[in-house]
Amino acid sequence: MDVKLFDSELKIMDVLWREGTLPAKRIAEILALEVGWNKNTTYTLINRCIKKGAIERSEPNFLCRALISRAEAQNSETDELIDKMYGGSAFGLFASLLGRKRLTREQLDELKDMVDQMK
Amino acid sequence: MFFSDISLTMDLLQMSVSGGILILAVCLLRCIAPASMPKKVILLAWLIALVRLLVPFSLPSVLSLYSRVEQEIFILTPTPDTALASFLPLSPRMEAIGTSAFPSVWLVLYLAGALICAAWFAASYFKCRREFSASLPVENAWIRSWVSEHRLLRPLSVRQSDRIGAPLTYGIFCPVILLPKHTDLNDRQSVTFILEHECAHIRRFDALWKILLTAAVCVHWFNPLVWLMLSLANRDIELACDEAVVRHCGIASAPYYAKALLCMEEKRSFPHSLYNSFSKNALKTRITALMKNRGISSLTTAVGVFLLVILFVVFATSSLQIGGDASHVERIIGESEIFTEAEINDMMDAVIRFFPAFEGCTLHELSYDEAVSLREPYVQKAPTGQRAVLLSTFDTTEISADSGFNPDFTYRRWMWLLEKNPLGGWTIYDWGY
Repeated sequence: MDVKLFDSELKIMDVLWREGTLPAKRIAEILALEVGWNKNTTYTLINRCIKKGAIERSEPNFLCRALISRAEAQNSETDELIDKMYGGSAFGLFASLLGRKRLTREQLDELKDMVDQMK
Repeated sequence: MFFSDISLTMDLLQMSVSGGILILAVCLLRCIAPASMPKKVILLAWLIALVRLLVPFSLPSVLSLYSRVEQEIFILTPTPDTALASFLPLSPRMEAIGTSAFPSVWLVLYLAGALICAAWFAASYFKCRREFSASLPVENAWIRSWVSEHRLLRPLSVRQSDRIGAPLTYGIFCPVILLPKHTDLNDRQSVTFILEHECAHIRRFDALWKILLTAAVCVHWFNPLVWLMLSLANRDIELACDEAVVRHCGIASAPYYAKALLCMEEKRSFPHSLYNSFSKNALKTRITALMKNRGISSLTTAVGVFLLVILFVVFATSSLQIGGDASHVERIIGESEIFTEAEINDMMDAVIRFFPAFEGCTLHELSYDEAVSLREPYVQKAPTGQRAVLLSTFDTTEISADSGFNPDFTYRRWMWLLEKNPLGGWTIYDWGY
């Protein structure tokens, strides 16, 4: 079974691979120190991992157990970018370096030539 | 209660119309602005437009565009039941303007549109913020030292995410620069350009301005010019930051910065990327601007600022009020067996709403005396509760003479004949002695 995880989800798994089965609260505490995430962020990511089948939850205490090993986990391909998902509204609301619209090969080359000429 | 709905609509429309005209003026400014004028001037122009759209201020000025327009023949008078601003030729006795007891359909439609826009933007914003918060810190020594060199009053952090295609910045109180995962951190020149650009955004609180622009679009969603402003202003914000980078790193860096932008664009374009069929492309505009950059001239800056002042005075101010003043009216409501106090207030609201047509006059008092009202043949000819007469006291000035009044005079016991309309509001039938 292919489980594709984003970097953020892999970070959660990383904690479990290092420390073994842990309650969610403990994972949140560790990551707050390591990467500065707040509890809600961590819990949201844990739930996503559960949905993807990478983590199994058991009670009591919201115990998390890794269902896949480090070798089995794959990095998600980077074409599920936010800008594509939310219709590009991210660029209107946030100051992004590049605009929403992509350029074609020809347009890129044309601009590169323009820059080279004016250097 | 609904009277105030209608006056809210009218103020909003007036703000939208004058805002729209201001936006067109800024578009003109953008076109004629030379490359040596700092982009900050254009941003200030957008700020004026934004303030006009969001802040219900009224600065009457004889220099205002609207003073000229209104002195011609027409007066901008919205009619409450259509709630659409319409130009009406106004002469006394012409338009019997009434009030409506129901919230107009247009108001409901407007609110629906505004809420849908706001909900869509808010949902996108918070979804993105949630994703951004799951970013990872950037462990890099030279970036850490760069951050400590560029201290702000607010805590700045640089993080990375595999969920974005291009660098961006977010956060107003705790700004974060977010880099895409595969950014080559060893290419110090390019990364410095990125960081400088995003830092310029942060220093100018662009995150906040973007939110305000979005708010203006939600409030004025029916006005296509405001959507145009959103698109152009966003572009100008980027151009201004490009300018800041070049100013900081030196003019000679402009071509290298342009190249860096193009390389980043190249990296994120996939084989199956969206083909941009529209020739007007933001990146092209930016590269062109960078290449044309020869430095800022203080002369053109001064000219730009001067143009801004003219822009504000002519387009953002409102017409000098010569219409009748009914802002401080004393209401005397006598005992009534036919009407409730609320109904009498509605009658008086109708007169107050109409009174601006009495140019140069000031309304001081409105009174309802049932005995007087019932004595009038006008009232007696209709069923009880259908018609009423109000008495008023108002002053005139020289301007009022144009409307046929005695100038500098006080009119007392001037009558207003009112009829209840099918919507439950009051319509003015006639006035006089």
